[in-house]
Amino acid sequence: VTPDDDFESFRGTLSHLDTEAEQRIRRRFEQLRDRGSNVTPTLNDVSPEGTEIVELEAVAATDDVSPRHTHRVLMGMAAAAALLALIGIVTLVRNADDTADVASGVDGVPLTELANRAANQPDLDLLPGQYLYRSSIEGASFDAIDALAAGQSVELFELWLDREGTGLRRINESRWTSTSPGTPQGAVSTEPRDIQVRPAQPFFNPSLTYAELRALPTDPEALYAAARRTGGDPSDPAFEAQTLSWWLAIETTPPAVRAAAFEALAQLGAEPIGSVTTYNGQDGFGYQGAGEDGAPWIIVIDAASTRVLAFARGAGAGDALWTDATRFDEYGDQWIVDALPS
Amino acid sequence: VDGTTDEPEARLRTGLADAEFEALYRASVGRIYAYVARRVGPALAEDLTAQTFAEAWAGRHRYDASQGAPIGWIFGIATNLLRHHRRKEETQLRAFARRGLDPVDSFDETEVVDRVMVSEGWRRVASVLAELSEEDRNILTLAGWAGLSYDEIAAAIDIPVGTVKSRLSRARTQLARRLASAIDLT
Repeated sequence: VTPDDDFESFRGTLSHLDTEAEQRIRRRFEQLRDRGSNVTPTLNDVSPEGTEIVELEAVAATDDVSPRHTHRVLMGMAAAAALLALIGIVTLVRNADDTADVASGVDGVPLTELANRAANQPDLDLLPGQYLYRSSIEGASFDAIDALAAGQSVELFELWLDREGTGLRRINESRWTSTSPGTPQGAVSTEPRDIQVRPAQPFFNPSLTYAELRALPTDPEALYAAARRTGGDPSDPAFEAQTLSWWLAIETTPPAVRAAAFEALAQLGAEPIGSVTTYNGQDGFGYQGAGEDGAPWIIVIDAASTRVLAFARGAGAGDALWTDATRFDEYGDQWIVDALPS
Repeated sequence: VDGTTDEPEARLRTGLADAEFEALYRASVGRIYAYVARRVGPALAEDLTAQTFAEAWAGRHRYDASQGAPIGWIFGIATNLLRHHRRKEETQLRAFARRGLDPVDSFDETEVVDRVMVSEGWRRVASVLAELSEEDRNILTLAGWAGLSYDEIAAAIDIPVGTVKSRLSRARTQLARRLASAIDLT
């Protein structure tokens, strides 16, 4: 079996468009065309002037997500075990002998207090010609229960972006380590490389442009609804928490939005779990919540600065056959610069 | 404009005339539907296909021929719309990887599906797809299911051609590894 054979097999199972379906699509297209607007406006369609639309949509969607506020504090034995595994991924592949430093009995700072602190911090806005720089690490560990594939991946990034979404993405290291008995053992790494980022790219995460980020709602429920809408269906508190963490992890997110994000995380049921050391050795407080299927997630915060150090989510007890879902994002240095690196 | 050619004169202009848009629609509606249906299932595919062309119609005057043939542009719009359904896609892929429940097959029995591929091998493909980042999944599916060239993929998702090549190579390697591992154990 060659890679080409594999790729050929990948092309299978495509659907064919029959005449009736084609006619239905045509009618729908003509309806939309004649209406002259999108059917499903989203955050991605909203310009700075469209802030009101975002907020109206977010409020309208609030009813859909109200059950979230009766969060599940569930964590039975299986989920607790999954949580320990998730904490472990904060130190993922750094060293097999390392374990996360989770100090028991440390309450941490309540998320509502972090919201107060965030609200009082200065508002950093990028000026034309400036770039926001951030270093980050993305990691994942997958270990299918049938042992058909297991491994870990870690990528180290640096990113410079201006208000237009133009800049540079530098991949300093991309490492994939196989531990599966069915695949070649060992690690695969790639050379560092730079990628020019062209205009109109999302700003630091897959959801928003810079203008949209600056226009996010400042009400916790509306912000949560906005996070929910960026991801599509089905809703899952773990994904919503991850989206909130993305927004929190950008220094130019307005203070009022960051405050709302902390409030929204509190409403999601995130509980302090004490001190946590991240994969890259940063110390912060961890807050843990549960996803739709009981899958745990953890956000690690530097309480003094309210900076997000890391976010991780893992597989739930109900997802035992799919144990790849342990993933984390870690955020390092971040500052505003006037030029791209030479 | 037939949706796939890269005529020299087309590269010099911005925007699509109504007749050109109609030609693009006819040439590509089936391909767009197949691509979208394969990624999120037939239940959503018709509406998303219509939305793709509605968005394209609204933005036809901004189409920049210097960025590539219109087929890449139209697939880029479809891929962008799919972003709003990534969770559904990942959920379906994982369900299929676990239980062999193919969303395409199960949602519409009348679809012509290669039964051979609705098998263990395809479950491995689904599991690889679910693991990939959204961008890698876009690149792999645009190449594998939409049949776009490197240049067309680059135009569709607005990244350099070199990046398309390197990321596609990586995704294909992952795909090959996973399928090979399945074969080794059987």
